[in-house]
Amino acid sequence: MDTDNAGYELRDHTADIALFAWGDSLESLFCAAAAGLYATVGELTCHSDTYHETLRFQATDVESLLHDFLAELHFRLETQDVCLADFNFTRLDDTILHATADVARIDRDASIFDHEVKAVTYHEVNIVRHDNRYEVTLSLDI
Amino acid sequence: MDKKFEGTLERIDQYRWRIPRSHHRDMRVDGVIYADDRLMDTIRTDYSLQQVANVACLPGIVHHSLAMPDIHFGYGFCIGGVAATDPAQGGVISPGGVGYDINCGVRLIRTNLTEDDVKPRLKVLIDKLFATIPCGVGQRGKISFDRKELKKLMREGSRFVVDRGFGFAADVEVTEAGGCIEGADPDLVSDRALERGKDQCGTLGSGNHFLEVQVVQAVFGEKAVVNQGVSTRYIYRELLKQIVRMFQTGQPPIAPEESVEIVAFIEAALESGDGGGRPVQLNI
Repeated sequence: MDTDNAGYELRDHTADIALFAWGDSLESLFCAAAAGLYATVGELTCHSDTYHETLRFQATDVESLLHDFLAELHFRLETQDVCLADFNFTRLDDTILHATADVARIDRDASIFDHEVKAVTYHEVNIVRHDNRYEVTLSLDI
Repeated sequence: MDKKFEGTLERIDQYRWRIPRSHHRDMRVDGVIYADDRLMDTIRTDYSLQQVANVACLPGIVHHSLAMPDIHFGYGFCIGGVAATDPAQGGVISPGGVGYDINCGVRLIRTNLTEDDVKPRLKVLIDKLFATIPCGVGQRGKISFDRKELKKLMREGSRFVVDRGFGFAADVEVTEAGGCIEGADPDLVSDRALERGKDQCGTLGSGNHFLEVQVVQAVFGEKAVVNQGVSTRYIYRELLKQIVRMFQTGQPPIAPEESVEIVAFIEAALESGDGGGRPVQLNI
């Protein structure tokens, strides 16, 4: 995912992976970070049938909100073999996230797994806003 | 991490450096880094030295905030950082120090195989281990436990596995710490963590996890007197091998003087045992 409006990069890190994401809004930043998380895990192929789900998070600040959001995606991926995509945020501010998403099961036989992500860390996470661009760098423990 | 350490770094000797506690008012002890000049040139390029200083601020820290060779920037602690804290002095357990991979350590299991047994078949053994043990990204264990069983596994370790028929009791006897951690309390582990872990049992994992086949060449320690050779676990088999070799070569496995000493020791042990463990005199 790499557009002028939103995208991510996986960057070198001493022992883990640094996920750099950007977006022209908080919503697009969160989407880009989610895409980057899945890309870190590997090239995931999903079955075509999906179902709809609602997500709700509340945190003390926007960085914790992003962390909890990605941690949930990661948890669902590991325990239920599902990916969430096509997020539609009905509310997203510094402390509250409400969204709906399409949930698809992963086709493990068709997927290529590159890294086992152990955790989405809080390490030095800081969402920075420059004019109409939001940026964040997260450390993914692999 | 682009920041660099700007504080005081003193040389102690050729391989040790000190960050004095005067570097920051919150430091309770000095930081000591083990590195040669070449390593230190690299270490200075990231912020790991500051992390050594940060760890020196921990409540109850004992002696020094240490850093092993080749430290680099980590999560709180630098990678390669070491510290001990004393609960009596308000010491804390630092999750940053323990690491996210809590108990991601190394276990040693000793077999009854010798180097002569394994070396000619090493490739076959490795291929078999690789085929049998799930490892690598995306792999899951062949056996999945429910939550109750998982907690039992976490509490009992390898003994649980043996009771379920997946191992041999003899293996547990030669597994470090009996394959469990004394005092483990799985009730302190969240349901989410259990859910994530339940399919991982019996896998090697991925990333930097490894399994190695090694040969014990020397044993050090208080009771260690054997420099390879006899396995005390299978003493009679080893004894038989020595006897067969003696008949084949005509050479006794030990000198006659040692034989006399061993017999004397056995007789003394028997005498002591008959006397309820009273001390006896060796007659040599």
